[in-house]
Amino acid sequence: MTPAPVKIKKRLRLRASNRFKVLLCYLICFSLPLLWQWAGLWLVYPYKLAFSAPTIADTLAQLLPAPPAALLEAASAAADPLAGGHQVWSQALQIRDLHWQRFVLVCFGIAFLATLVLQLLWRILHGRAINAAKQARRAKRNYRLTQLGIWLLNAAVAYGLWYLGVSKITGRTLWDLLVYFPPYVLNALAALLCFRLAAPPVISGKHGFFKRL
Amino acid sequence: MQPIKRLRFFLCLLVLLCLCGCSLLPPAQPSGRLPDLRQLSMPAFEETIFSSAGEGGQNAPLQVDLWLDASQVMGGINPVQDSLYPHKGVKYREGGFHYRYENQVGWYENLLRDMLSAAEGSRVRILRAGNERISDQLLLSSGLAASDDPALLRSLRRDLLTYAIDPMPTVFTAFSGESMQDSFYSPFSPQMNRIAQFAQDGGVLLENPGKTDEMDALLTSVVASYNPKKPEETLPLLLTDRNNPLTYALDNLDPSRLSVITCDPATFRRLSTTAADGSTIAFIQEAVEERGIFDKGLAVGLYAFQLDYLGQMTAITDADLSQPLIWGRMDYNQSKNKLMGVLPMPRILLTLVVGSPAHVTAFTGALNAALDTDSALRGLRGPEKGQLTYSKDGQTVTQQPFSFAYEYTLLRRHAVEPYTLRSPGMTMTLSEGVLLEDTALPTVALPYEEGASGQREITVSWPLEQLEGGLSLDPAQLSSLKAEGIASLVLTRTEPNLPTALPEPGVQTLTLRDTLYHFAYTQENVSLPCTAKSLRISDDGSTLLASFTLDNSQLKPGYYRLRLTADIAGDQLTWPQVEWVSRLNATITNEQISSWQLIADALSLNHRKGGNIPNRFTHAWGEDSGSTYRDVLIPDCPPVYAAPRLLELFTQLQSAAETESTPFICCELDLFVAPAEQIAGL
Repeated sequence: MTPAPVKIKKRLRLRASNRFKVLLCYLICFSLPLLWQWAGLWLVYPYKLAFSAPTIADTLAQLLPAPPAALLEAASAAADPLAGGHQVWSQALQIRDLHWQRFVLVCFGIAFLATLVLQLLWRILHGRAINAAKQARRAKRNYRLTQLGIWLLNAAVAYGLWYLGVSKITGRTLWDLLVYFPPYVLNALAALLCFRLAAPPVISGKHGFFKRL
Repeated sequence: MQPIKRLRFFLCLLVLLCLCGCSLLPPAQPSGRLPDLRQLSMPAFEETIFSSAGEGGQNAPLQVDLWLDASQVMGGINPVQDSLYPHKGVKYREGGFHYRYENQVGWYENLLRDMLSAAEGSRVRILRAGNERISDQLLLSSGLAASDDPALLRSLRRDLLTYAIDPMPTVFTAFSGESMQDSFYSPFSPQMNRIAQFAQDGGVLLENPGKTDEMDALLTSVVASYNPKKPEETLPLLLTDRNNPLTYALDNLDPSRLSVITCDPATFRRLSTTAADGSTIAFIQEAVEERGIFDKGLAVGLYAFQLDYLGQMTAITDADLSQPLIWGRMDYNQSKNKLMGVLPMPRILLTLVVGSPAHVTAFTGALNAALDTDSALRGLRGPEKGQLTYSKDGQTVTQQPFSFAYEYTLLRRHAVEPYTLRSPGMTMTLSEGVLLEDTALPTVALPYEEGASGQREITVSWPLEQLEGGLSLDPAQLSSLKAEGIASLVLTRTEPNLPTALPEPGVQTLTLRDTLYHFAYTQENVSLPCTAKSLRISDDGSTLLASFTLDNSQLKPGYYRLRLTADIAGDQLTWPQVEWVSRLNATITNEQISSWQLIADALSLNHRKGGNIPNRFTHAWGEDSGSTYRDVLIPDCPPVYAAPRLLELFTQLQSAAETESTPFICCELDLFVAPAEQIAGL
């Protein structure tokens, strides 16, 4: 009778350069959507999209069944003034722009953080070096599910952005689409790249599905 | 397929899907590529002031000048000393308007008291305007006036004519108690010089304090210059066509004060003459225009009082009677050789109230109230038993008792309150756009369409109401409507929205996306995209309609400030008929004047020869009109019961009040041309 094989927990040896490359991969991939959104709102918006914001606070206030007082106040500040001179109109437009930029940032932030969390969660779940082959198959299956979820999540947030705001912008141009939507694509792509290029060492390899940098 | 190649494939597919998705997105709403023009700031508009200059200073203490006619006919005085008729007795004084019988005085004294009462709380100054004149040369030669500045000369003259300042109502009692020779109404009366009463405190109450000594000396010399025994040497020089107490007062009144001027219409020798070139010279109109009374926004209230009169009339318009006409007399019982009472006759006294409309309205309102409640002005006076008669149109008129009465009208420059966009009942009909009324200046918001053609019409209508002062408008003579550009703030150019763009002075810049829109503010040579079309009155005569059109092709985004005006020429406004002016007016012909002078001469000649004048001439030349006396036809009694030349006086005042043109419509408005969706939010 042969004794049952004993699972020996082997510690993987990772080179520091590999860790660095993985970190770099994350930084590069996930900084791209951040950079894009930052550039879009702070560099492009004032010169390509200025004073084109929709009344997002009002839209949200109408959408919510019980809008908070702060939102109602913000909607009132950005609404078309019933009376007053040019300063009031100018102020309302400026407030509208500010609200809109904040809303775009919040939408993007939600999608970005959710994408990052999902990706990191997958990475944590599939980093244990036990039954590597089985782990790799499970990781591959979960990757496809997670990546699909990330795509759907970003698409949903992008659609929300479209539905609540961008669709109401008069005189939209290509600049609107370039500023508001590519970050969501980049979010998903960043996750995709990190899945494939910065997977845990136990499931990645030179010729594997998940490449090791 | 290798994994990397598959990744590339999916990426390409994703990009393609994105691009296709973009093309499937719903198209953007058209914006017209204009920023929100509601951010534009059109500079505030300075309102056109229509209120007249005379409206100001209502809070300042009111100062009233009471110019009293001190002509001899007012006081019933015959300057000729050897007149047959008594002037004054123990119980009576035949002082014209200022007569007295025991405790009864003429209504004129009560009227003057009521005038003081109406001016209660104001500073009142009484000035004596008689037939005497203090010429500019006299003022200059006496050293009182340092220069020939007309304002200074008038001011000095007002001081010299001042009879009393802040008087008590009893001041007028003295007028009916004075001796006839030295009375207020006597020519060159010592009453002319009242400087002594102001000299005690250095004349601080006068307009020119510190000159009381010089003034006193001047007036003393003027009074002394008259020889009462030879009035014919002086008086004819004073009684000229142009000179009368009214013109004297008008020439010298202070337009900053409320001037109340009493005048006996019998003192109007002539109110106009014809120049060598055939033009008419109207004395009253000339005086009023020269003083700029209506130009200053002042108003003239005209009163006609029916008062009682008892005295002698030596000058009736430009008829100088060598033997006075006696109008009213004592009721003397020959059998009992006793005075039974007084038989005054009715005469008209005119009064002008000159001042700012508010002051005139306040004063006349108070005076009317005082007159209506003054018990001393009630009751009947005059002969109750037909004791006094006179001839009129060849018929004998028996004078009946009469009561105090007055008529009043107000004259001011065509006080047409211009129709504006703020006038009550204004409506605006727009083919497109909307009228914004809660703005500082009424604003018409018009939708802007790039490349639009055609025209838009805007019609402003007002309910045509009765013009102030009873003026009426002749619809057939409406002037044309004018549209004038005051300012504009329109889009002049655009440029790319770049960080290097700098703000420009006088230019408002709006930003939309990648473009900067520059709006330049212009105040001169503003080219308007509108044309005045018509000004008319609706068929039913109830509405005034002003229309103008806008050329769409010339409209630029932004603001246009325009003014619509229409003036009324003076002759387009017809004055309302004042019934009482015609009713009380008396027309006098040269033939009448000649006949009056002839009969007066005949009576005078007979009197100088020592003959008695028949009793039938002891009042109003009796009732024998048409018969003769010493081969002289006895004429009708002069119409001293009426107001000679009143109609001419009134017409001249109206003419002076007329202007060449006066604003009838004056609408300032802003046109705000902006995309339709921006206008919808206003």
